[in-house]
Amino acid sequence: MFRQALRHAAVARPTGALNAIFRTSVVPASRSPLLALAQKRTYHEKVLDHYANPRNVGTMNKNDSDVGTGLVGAPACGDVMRLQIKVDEETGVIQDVKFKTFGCGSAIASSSYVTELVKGKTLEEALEIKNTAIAKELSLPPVKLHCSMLAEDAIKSAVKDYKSKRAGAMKQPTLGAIA
Amino acid sequence: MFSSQRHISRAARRWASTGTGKNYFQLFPKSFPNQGPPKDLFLVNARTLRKEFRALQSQNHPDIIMGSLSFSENKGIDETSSSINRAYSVVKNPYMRAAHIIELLHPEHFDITTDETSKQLISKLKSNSAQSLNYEELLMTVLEAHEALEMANRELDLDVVQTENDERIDECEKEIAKLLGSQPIDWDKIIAEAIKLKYWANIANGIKEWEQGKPVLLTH
Repeated sequence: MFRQALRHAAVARPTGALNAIFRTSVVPASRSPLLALAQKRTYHEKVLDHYANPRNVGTMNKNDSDVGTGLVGAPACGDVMRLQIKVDEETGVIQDVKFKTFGCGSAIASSSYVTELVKGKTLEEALEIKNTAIAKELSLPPVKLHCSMLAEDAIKSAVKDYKSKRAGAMKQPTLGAIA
Repeated sequence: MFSSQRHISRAARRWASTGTGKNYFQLFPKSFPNQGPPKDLFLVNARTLRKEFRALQSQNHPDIIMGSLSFSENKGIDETSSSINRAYSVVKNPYMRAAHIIELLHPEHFDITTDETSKQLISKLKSNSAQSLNYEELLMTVLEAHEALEMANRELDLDVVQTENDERIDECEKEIAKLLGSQPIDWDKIIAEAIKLKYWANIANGIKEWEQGKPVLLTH
């Protein structure tokens, strides 16, 4: 089964990076989160893709007035995630997103996917993203649902940080600051 | 062979059905003569515990006790090989040990190893008057430690990260030991320390898995 997934993924993305990941994680196969993810054909591709080529990894200056930073953790497994949003102060639309996650494959894939999801959305729309939608898109197994929860928490926390920043910095109301 | 496997799965079911309130420390009477902390010390000697574990397994291994129908009935304690394994994996690990003590002895028997429970407890600990836990600061430190680990490109850099993290773990364990030794037991503080310990343990895991040029991936 896993060999199948491996071949499939290798055909889809014959990149050195992916091979490197397989090399490092396939060896202790019994402990590899990738194996757990790859057991169902329907979802391994998306998770592997986000995991091998995570989108929007990076850092923004958390002191910028148009940047909101969310820092959250999953206390039961010890994973941490930082997610930052850059917001258009006029329209309240999220222009750019960066994240950094230290955790398992599902946590990295969840946060990568969520950065794609929130880009271009308004703050209010971003707040409506539910972890169940992330889990569904990536077809996470029940045991990994908390990884998608981490991504939802991160968005909420980043929006909250941005709003409190705006409320503190400016007296005149703008779209982003009303809450 | 087959009959012993059946016995084990039956024993596992029995364990599951009586799961709540099960004390893992009871299986290791040499290391925990008083059924575990707080009457026994929280800090354990890993070598002695391992020795006791191996001795127990040599007596209770399915290959040895196969055929003996009453093997798990003695003393009313489940001493099957699989339950000894599970108990050992809990009591040897400081975080799991602390979590087990909380589940056994906390008036509300919280299971902090579930994400939901620990998140609820964290929001309680953040807002209580004693401010038992500065969670934002904790997460910041955790993130910085992981970043330092990611930036490490030589064994030497790694040593710095490791020394720092070992100190944190050590501090946490000692604090939990101290808290368990004083009356009345301050459970909020113990829970806060246990939550910190989980984050440090995850960093330790990352350090253990570290290899030159390899991306950091945490497995748990």
